[in-house]
Amino acid sequence: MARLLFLGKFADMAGAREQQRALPERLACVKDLVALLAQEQPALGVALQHPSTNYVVNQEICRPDAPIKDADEIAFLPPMSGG
Amino acid sequence: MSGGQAAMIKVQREAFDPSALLRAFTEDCGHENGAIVSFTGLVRGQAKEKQTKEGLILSQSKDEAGLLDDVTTLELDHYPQFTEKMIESFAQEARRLWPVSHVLIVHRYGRMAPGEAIVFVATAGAHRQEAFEAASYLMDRLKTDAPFWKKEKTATGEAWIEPTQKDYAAREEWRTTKE
Repeated sequence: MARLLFLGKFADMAGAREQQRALPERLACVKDLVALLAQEQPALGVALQHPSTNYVVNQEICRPDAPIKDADEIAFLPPMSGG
Repeated sequence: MSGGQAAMIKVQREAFDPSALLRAFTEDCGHENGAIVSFTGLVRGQAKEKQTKEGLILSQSKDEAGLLDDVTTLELDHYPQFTEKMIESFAQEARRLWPVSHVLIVHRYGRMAPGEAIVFVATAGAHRQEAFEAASYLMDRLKTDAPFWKKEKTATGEAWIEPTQKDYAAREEWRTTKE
């Protein structure tokens, strides 16, 4: 099972901050997972595909073509804003 | 803050007392430094923006001030461990760019009211310039690159707040001049 995390406004859009799910084998990289999520929730998909979104796999910032596997923690980060 | 740690990062839900943090930081720095700079960020009482039928009102345009709502609470989401890790990397970068011996960054998450301290940054160095610049750099990085997400609540609704163009410009300035 992969652990998907939707941070900030993405949690509101996804309807949950966290999702445990088995990743279908055809999903090779982050981009594939985003495409699957976009099919399920188009508005969320548009937001996740926006260039301002950061992808974090197992606590490392990744490019959309970063490989993913079923035990990963995959987080979607909208623009960050501390301070 | 013991054991001579050079950079100390705390991400916490609990409120903090900035003067107590500064006192402890000053004691921890010992006698090796000639300069300590600290910055405390507070939750602002006025909303950053408001969506009206006429369009979006931003707090930066002064002539429209007065139309914005009062903030009732600010709620900060964060990403445990990753947030600490990112802030740690900013502290390391600040220590690479300036000769600062000690860095302390305390950042809150969760629910806060206007007037409460949300962030505290302190730096110590031999001279004031490096301490000032490193503190300023750290705040600019926190504004645009720290994994926090702010939701502002007012009497009329709630909105996720993102960095302003000014915040991004400040971060970019360091990239071109210093990093």
